[in-house]
Amino acid sequence: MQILARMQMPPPDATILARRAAIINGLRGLVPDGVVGDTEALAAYDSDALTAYRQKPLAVVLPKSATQVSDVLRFCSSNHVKIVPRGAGTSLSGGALPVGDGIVLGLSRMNKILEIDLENRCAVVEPGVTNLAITRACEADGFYYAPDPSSQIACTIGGNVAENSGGIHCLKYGLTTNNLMGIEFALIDGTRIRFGGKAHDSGGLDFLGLITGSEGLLGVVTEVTVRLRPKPPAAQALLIAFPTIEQAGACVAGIIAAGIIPAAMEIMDRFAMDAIEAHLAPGYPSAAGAILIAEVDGVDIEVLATAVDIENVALRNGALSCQKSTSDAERDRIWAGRKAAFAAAGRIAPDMLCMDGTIPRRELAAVLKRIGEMSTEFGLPVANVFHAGDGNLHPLIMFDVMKTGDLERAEEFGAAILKLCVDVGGVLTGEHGVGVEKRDLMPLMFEPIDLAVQERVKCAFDPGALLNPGKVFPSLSACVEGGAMHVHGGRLPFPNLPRL
Amino acid sequence: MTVENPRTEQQTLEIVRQTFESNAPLAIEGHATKLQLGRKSTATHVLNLSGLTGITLYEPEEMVITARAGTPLADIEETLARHGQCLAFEPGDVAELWGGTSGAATIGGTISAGICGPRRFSAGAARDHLLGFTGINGMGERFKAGGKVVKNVTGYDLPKLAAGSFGTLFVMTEVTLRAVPRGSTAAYLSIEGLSPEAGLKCLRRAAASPLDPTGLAYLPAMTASRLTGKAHPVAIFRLEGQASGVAARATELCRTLGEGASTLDNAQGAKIFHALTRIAPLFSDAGELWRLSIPPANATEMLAALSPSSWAADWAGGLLWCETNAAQIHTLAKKAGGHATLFRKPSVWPDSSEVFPPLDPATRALTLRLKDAFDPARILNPGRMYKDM
Repeated sequence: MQILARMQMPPPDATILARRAAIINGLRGLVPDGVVGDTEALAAYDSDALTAYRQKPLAVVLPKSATQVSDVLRFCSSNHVKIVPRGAGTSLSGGALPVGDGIVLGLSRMNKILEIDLENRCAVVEPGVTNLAITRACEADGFYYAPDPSSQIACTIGGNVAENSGGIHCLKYGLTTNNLMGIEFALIDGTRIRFGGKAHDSGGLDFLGLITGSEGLLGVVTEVTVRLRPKPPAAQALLIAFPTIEQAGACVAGIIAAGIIPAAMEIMDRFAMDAIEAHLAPGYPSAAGAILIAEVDGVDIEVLATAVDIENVALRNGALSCQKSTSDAERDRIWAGRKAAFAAAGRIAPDMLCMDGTIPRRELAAVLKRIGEMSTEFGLPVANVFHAGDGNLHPLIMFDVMKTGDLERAEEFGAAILKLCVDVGGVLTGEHGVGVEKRDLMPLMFEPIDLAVQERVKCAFDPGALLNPGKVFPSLSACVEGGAMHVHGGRLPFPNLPRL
Repeated sequence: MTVENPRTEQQTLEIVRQTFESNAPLAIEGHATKLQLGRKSTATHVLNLSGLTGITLYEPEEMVITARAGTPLADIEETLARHGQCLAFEPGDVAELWGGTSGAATIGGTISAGICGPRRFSAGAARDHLLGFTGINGMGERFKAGGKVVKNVTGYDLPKLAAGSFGTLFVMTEVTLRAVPRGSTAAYLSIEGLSPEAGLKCLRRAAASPLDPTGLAYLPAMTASRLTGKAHPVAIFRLEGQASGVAARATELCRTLGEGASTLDNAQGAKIFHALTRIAPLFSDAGELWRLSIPPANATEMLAALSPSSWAADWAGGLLWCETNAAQIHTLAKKAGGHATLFRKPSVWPDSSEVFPPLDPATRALTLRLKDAFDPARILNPGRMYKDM
């Protein structure tokens, strides 16, 4: 497989570029106070959290209402102007990477919580509301919104819908798609349609499910109704050390086999532990080859009983130690190391790529062994942290972009890891999305006919291919690359966000 | 009307291909237990998938099971139960509504119809547990979608579209589902004698508690008497999980609900919730029967508008089964923020009347474009969901 280091985007349309001034004028007529056309100001929008790729858009449009979204789409549609929808720009896969001959349609100004409806256990919000703001708005009443992507303080619910965002509690509570009830959705011609609402399911074909995770290629979300859940009254975290990562993996399988679905299960390998130890000194057992963090939630007595059950499974699988939190503060301390894994790895290498494949858990030991071998072959270190309950791996590949060939090798290594995930029966992305990052790897997982079927769905919504061009589908470019979240000089995109 | 009975996916592929070439529409069925649900297809011959059977992959520790579309649902549930697992959405098994027998449905038909039982409000629907599938589109092309792992966002989520599409987009030949641990224990509480309004309010209060109920139903006196022999309305509550936790949550729920709440005998509780997956035991064996999915808080208002002769409420009031011949039900359901589906038709049902929720013009146009993306010749179950589709 030939792997090129840089992703190719569709070449810009010269006729659109030539009409730039007229297009910006037209857009200003629709959203008078919300069009960014100044070249310097556009730099703020030239990438998302996949910072290896940058491109200034033609203009940025920041509508304040669904009507304005429709107006802009209608205008772009009749003027053949491409549109890249954007929430907070926290995508790790380049989902909001601009194109030079298209606008960025930023939804961040549509940030009102329209309704908290506790009788029907749902909230109705505009797309630019942040994920965490929804929980903040209902937690005093004992409710919360379950999906918790690590960027939840910044990422928007509209972006969550587009990416079908995950988080560490997916195993028990599902991804975004399992926690949505309805959306209002603007089609490319400006028409807005409601799918679902406050009822449990929507009638007719499940457009809500189809649109969720479609990465901005089908239309623009203008309103979202999410499921609110009653907050569990108690939670306990367990920090369990194992001599080997195989035993940690076997423990996870044993927990599932015992009929227990913890709220979260996370594994870190020795390399990740060493990085965290150097950074935070949490005092991980030096004999441990891997750490498993499990969290259980529910009513008091059930939490305590389940934690004991998990401890017993762990001891049967050769655990060296098992620490159970006795307070919320201790629970936070247990999580602190895991939440710092990304930053810690960022301190020992100038640059880092974060991969996001999912594998069947039974393949864990074999896959980690192979990743270790590949690390030697590529000459680049890798730390492994992952959502163990659902087999979602996040290998962190370390490199130095200043060294000639390092970035290319890191991207090659990343692509090889994702190929390995697919080869053992897994998938390219568990929660970060395809975007531009994994676009050209899609043929590893899908046959041409599988992709053709999906592209026809795209055509049913957006026949002119104006929405988020150059993403998800590889057909526009023959090159293959395996980039990922790119971090330079220990600086993370959105440095204040924990990355899980 | 000819019936094709393929034994393999390859044979199925050939049949659909030939159908595409000859442009002779196909009705897709498994064990034909839900043929009377939906509109009458205008297909001229039948593709029966009940010969495509077998569980092809089951890994309990991965909580993933793959089976061919014609595999009996009962086989799948039995296999899962042997490993202490189940399908979280508690598949509806409604064949008795049309005089069929329960326990005969296939997994393909179950997913295609997307009918879910009492646990749906807490655990999600069929669409939430379908991880991937292999299908054949209306041009006779075999494709796969989704994956075989529990967490996957690679490409469009076509499995969501498969659930509830009644075979109108593609023929599913194999499905991969997520399984969950089956709680070792269930406990049931009930309150008798509450008015519908008070009873439904109790269900909503339980749903808003952190006690994780997995069944919240209310039966008015007439419906309850068919199951309990007692002509008292009853609100019933189910908790599932490990023994100690269930006991603790039951005690707490009893306290939350207050006076009148008491423990219901397990056999009686199980019988009621089983009936709520089958539906037929709740009603007489004739009459127009509607299923309404609505915001739970609008249940009382919805019932007042419909004046059903008999009814039952599930999903904390978010699901109503109503025997009624009220006019304009689709409009009333929409006004209440939900939608209605006609399950059992009266003897005379004009073809122009909608069984599924009518589509507004923009959704209808989009639905047809999507249909054409999969089945441009419109040969798969034509007319089953909507006229011209």
